[in-house]
Amino acid sequence: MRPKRIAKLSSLGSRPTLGPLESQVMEVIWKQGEVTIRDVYDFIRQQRDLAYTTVMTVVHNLHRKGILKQRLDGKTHYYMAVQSRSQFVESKVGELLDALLEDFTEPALAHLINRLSKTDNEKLIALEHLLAERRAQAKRENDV
Amino acid sequence: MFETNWLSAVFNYVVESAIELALVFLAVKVVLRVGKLHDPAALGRFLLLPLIIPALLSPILHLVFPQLSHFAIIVQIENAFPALGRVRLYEEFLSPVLIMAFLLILIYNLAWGLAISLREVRHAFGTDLNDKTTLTRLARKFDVAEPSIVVSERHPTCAYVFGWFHPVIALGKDWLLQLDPKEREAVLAHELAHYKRSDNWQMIIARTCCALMFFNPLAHHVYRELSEAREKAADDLALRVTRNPLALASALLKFWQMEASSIASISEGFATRDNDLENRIRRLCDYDDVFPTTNANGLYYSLFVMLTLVLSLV
Repeated sequence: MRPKRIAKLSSLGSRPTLGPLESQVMEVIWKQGEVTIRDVYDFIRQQRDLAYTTVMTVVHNLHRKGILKQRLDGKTHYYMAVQSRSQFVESKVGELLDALLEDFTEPALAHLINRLSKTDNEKLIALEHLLAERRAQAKRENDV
Repeated sequence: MFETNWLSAVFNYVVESAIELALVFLAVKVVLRVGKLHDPAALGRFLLLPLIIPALLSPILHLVFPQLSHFAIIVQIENAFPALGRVRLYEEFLSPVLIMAFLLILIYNLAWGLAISLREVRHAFGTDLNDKTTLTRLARKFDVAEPSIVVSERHPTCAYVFGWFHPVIALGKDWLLQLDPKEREAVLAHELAHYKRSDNWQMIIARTCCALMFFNPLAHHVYRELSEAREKAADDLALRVTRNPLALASALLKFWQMEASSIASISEGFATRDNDLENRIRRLCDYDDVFPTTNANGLYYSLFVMLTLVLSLV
């Protein structure tokens, strides 16, 4: 059972959220709204040197994945995001957490709880130290 | 009974009970400060009064002595400021309703406690932890009937005591497995201290009063302070028998660690209940072995009861 579960989780890695260049393209599109490939290319060219065809490939891939939608106006293709940035982030976080909770319920929950109760952990560690100190003190007094 | 301006009477009850509670609570704080009573047992004993006086004693007194209504705070305020108009005195017809409500809620709380205890016993299994000698010794020292232990799987981190004539201590399975013999003895002594002090009964009465004054945030604050004082008082009583505060501190720390890693604890953590636990553990770690006395404050207690009875007339 366990190997199957791990394989299932690794399949999550085969559909990563967004690559570095895809993220950059999406940031431009979320910022600009409706854009052409030329618009995206011009914007990114201000920050880094890359070919027009690379940007075109990335935009086409995003469209193929359903993250962008396309509108044809005359001979020009316009692209826009299917979801707003916050909606996109929310849905991806949800997918990731669902997959984790489904396959690795206990470790995932334990990790979330540990993160949520970070203050508690700090307090607990401080109290553990205090208790150990008092025990050592009591032991020393008994020895004397 | 309710044909005349009952809303005004309810308003009167809300205001008067709030003033009474605040006055008695303030008096508790002053008496404890003046008498230098730092003993949680004393605090626990005093703190029941701010709840029970406005919720029960005051309505009973006004029912038995209707002429006392002239002393009511609201009457004094109305006399001083006639322009404010008159509200209907709740004492005239709400007192029997309040006493009935108190009894009904008390019966409900008792029945609920009994149902939970019976369910716990039915689903629990006995312990094979060989604590018989420890239990016998503790029971003899506390001068109570020898308790039974039930191990709860339904509440794996719990520890509480119930029973009328014979104490039954319920311990959560997971927590119990983590305790060494000294820590277990400390926990058992703490629970027996609750039984010896009749804390369950007093907390049921306090909870009933709190339910009657659900609208008053101060009542909930007093209830929480009372609950914390009783836990500390049970710690003190247990330590007089076991003389091992570090074992109890260690058991509480293990309890907290288990709670912190359970899903159900998230909400409790946000409710700052853990602060009480932290205070108790720190207090036990720094216990100075000078066990507070509980019988030296009898005079203060008597005076205070008289004072609060006077306050309950208003």
